[in-house]
Amino acid sequence: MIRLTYILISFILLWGSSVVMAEPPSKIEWIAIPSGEFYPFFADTVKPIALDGFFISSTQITNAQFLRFVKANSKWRRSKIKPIFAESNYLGYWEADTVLGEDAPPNAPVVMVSWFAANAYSKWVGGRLADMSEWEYVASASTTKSNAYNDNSFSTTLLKMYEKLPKVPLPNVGERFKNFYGVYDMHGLVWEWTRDFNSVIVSTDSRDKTNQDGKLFCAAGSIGNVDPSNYSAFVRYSMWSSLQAKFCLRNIGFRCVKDK
Amino acid sequence: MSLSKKKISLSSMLVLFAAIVFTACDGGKGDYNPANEKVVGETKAELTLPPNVPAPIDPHRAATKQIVHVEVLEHEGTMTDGVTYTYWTFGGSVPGQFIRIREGDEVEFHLKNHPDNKFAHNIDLHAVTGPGGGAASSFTAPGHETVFSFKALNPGLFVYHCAVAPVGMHIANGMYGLILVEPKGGLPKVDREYYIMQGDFYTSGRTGEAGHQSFDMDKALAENPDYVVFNGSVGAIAGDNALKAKVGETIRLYVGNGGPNLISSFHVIGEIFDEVHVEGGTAINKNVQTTLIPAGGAAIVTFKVEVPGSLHLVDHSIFRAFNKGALGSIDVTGEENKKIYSGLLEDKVYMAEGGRSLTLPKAKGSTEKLAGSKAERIKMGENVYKQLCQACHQPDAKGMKGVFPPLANSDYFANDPNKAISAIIHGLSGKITVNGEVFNSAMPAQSLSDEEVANVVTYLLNSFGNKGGEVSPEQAKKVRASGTADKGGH
Repeated sequence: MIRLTYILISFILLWGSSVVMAEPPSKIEWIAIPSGEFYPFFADTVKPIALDGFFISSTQITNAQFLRFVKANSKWRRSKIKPIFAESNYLGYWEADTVLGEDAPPNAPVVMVSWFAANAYSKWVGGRLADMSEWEYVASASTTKSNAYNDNSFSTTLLKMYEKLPKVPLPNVGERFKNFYGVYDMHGLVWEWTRDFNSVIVSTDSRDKTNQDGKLFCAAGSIGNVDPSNYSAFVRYSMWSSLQAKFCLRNIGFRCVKDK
Repeated sequence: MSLSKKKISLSSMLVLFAAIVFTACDGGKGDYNPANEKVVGETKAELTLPPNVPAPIDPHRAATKQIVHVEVLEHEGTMTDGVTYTYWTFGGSVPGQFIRIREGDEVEFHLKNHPDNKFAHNIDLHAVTGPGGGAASSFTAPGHETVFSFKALNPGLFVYHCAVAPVGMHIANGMYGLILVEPKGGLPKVDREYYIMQGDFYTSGRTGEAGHQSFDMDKALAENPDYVVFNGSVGAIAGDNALKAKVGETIRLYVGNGGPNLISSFHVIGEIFDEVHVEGGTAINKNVQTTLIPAGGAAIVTFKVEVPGSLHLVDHSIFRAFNKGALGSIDVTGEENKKIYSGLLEDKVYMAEGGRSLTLPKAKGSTEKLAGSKAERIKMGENVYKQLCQACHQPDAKGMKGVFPPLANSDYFANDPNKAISAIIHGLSGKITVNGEVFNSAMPAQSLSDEEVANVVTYLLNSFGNKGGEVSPEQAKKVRASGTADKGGH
């Protein structure tokens, strides 16, 4: 309920104050993703979701890219941002409002960025945040296959990537894990916001199946999801469902998509 | 019932009335309801890392508000020599910090998820009466802190653990610990208390495979662990880290089992539990040899140590103890008492396994790391020695008189390393003479690769006062091909 209120209030505020800026020199490389079908991990049925084709940024948004955004839009600077849009540690690796500093290399992904800020940036570049289905659709590609979620070895590889402890400063984007579509770092760098990150509720006690919200749970049986062995998906959905839109985490960044 | 009530005499009514008034004033046990006990004041709870336990609660202390702060940390740690693993922990250790309260206490629980962590976490305390045992109220993103409170209604020893999906993975990475809810008036006084918790771990490489190991979901689903350990790693409470006690002392162990999969047959070699709080509850069983501890369960065991020596703590599903790490010890010092005991415990346990070779199949697709230099060979051999050999031949390689021959300054293989190689590959039984002493025992064949045999023998040749040299995997291969077990001096 609190979450919903936040989103409602923020929509009103955004509506009132959003000004569409000119397309910035953000140098985002857009990769075309073909239309297709996606089997949601959390579904009660196994009906696929039909997805239209879209463009996705080849990498996560970097500190340098986000810096251009806050230079052009002062209200998204650390000192100016309204508390409702971001927690106090917003852009916490940056040295100052418009200075990156040692802990935030220009080509590393921008992190400690709230959903609101990520959403505003995406609009500014003429795009939006990916829906979770779109994100998972692209993320299901291994280096060689468009959909590798059914490969046990792929799931295992992902878990290994996830459990790697982060290093500060974070490494650059676009250097690892280029997938089938030519998109980098869908796994293994930092988690990413999606437009509807909290629309799938992993029950706060994840074993609860009786709860009406509980589309997804885990414990003994995992009968609520399509593929119980896909533990890497549990990890992602747990993470998403623990978030609120104002949260700024050291291990969450974002990328943008654009409709075709 | 109603009939007999009518017949109760006035005098007995009075007695009954007096009794009720008396118990009410006294706060006697029969009427005591922890839910109604008034909470007086607040304190920050003292938490301890394993194997330590916070001091017992003053039996006269009123029910209090206890503030508990637990920080979740994801960090790299050592599983065994040469093997690292990424642990997820409550408070930096596996098991997590020990929490000690009494029934009637109100606990204000703060769960902090460190900002550098990559995963969301929560906590389910089995001591909590309420949805998810607290999990429903403590779902915490990295860099956040959640707070909830509960009243301790039931005394006992309870497990806590993380319950975020995938639950099994969070527990398998070490997210469990114990909370003790003392009964009102406390537990009987003892001389020493320790905190032990068993857990099973699933690694990408086979048991003992060097380097950093990832969590292996397939092995976890198959319930086939590579490590079964006390307190998070092989040797966490053995060797230099052994628990300490003195002859004549009474020891209480708070023993939990985090799982995620295995049930523990907890046993202390050479002791009988005088008392066991069965499953951590109120029922007390006496004179118990082995107590079963379910995954997600606990037991409180007490025993008096009567003689000096090393008591070995094991999961008596015994391959786990000797091959997967579920082995700890209590070093008891003090006066011998020959009337009660004289002899060696290890002999018996060893003979139960004698003459057999355990073959550990290599994990599919794993490739063995090869030593690149003599120095590296020695280093890798040292790990093999520590994992496999020193349990019998001892950390100083001096062996044990009459049972395990010394490997230090050994004249047995000084001029012919093949004898050491053969003993490892084929086993060795019967009479042998080492440094002038006769041994008539049996060593089982070890399932080591040629590379590992070469490493450990090279390590031996260059350690413990032996005179140096290097053995190649090819040499080990030859000895392996050349035939069967030596029969000692025959």
